[in-house]
Amino acid sequence: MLSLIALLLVQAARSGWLDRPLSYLASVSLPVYKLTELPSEIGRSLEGLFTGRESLREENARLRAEALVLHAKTQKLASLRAENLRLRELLNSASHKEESVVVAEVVGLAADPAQHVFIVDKGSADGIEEGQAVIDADGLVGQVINVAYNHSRVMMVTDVTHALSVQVNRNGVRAIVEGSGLIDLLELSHVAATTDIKVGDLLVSSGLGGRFPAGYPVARVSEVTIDPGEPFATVRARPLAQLDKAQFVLLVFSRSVARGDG
Amino acid sequence: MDDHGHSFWVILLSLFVALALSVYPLPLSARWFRPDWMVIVICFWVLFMPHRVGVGWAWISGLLMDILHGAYLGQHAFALAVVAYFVHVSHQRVRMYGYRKQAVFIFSMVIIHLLLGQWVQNLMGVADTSLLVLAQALMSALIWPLAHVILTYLCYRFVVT
Repeated sequence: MLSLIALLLVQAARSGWLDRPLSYLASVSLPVYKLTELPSEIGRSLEGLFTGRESLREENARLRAEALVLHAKTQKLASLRAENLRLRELLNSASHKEESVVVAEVVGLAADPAQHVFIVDKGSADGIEEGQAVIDADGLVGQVINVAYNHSRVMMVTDVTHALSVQVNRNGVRAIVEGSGLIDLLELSHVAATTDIKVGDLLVSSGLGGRFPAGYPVARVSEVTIDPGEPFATVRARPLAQLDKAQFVLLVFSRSVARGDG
Repeated sequence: MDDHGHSFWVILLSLFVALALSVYPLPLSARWFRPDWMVIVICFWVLFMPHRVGVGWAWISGLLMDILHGAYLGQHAFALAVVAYFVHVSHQRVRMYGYRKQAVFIFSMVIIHLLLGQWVQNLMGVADTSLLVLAQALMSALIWPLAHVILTYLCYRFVVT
């Protein structure tokens, strides 16, 4: 009897009318995830407690140098942006996307080992929406697949059910990158054997499909095998984002900006 | 409920701990070897306290598990209810077994739980059936004696009847 109810619930969840109440109900799970984080949190704070003055000073100096380099790199950004906009106007390009990010902490990992999904501590209360792109300092991490009131679930690009459209940064060749189920491996599907793609090529998101903003680095090609007997080349790539050790990630808000007001 | 005030809370707490352990963050490769804590704890209570914990408890905790895991609502509720039913039907026999045979029993219960869960997922169009559930079942069977000792101790300590 109860099993029947459960199966009916599955059907109901499938039809989608439970989504809203569920997203509030699911809020209770954030404290549980926080609780499971506690041991590693304590470990980290103990580590912080015993860090010497000297190593702190060293780290400070290193961060200062890093900040200087980053500032220097952004100096020309403003003029480049203006130039980009002018060129776009020359090309009559309709609009461009303006992006802003919000930082979220990774609080948990999916229990199902077959899913490459993690939980972040921002939800619909923070304006998060399903389908938002998620990045870290090095590249594209994945996308938001499920939003609850105070947390949301992010599917990584390496999940077996995940695929996205990318471009080779060098020459603009497009391809589809599919997750492999392994944390450090992505596969490019249906790449013709004659395609100009080499080991070491940088793959960036192409923006096709409208889900991911264009231009975020996704992966670097690590292996190209061309078998004359096969119609397609086997191309493998290594994701750039620190998928398995990210503590903080950035959720990207992108909105279309009308021409001229960027 | 009045005369056995402790029992209810001990059972609830043990289920909560199992729930938390089931989402305890582990490295990806290690997650294939995470014991199925919920099934272990549910099996223990249904085996030794069948008058207290039955299919209903399993169903409710399965529902909580669904919410926590973000699985399809009802997936674990269904699977755990079926497991609890099997355990309830055979609890008089299995209670008499030694650790080794009980571990084999737990092994099959975990398999049932995971396969039913995968079956529901397949119904919903998420197709990944993996033989690696065997690893989880094996770990659960290996951890069973330890879980049994701890939970039995809790029973004596807090006079769960």
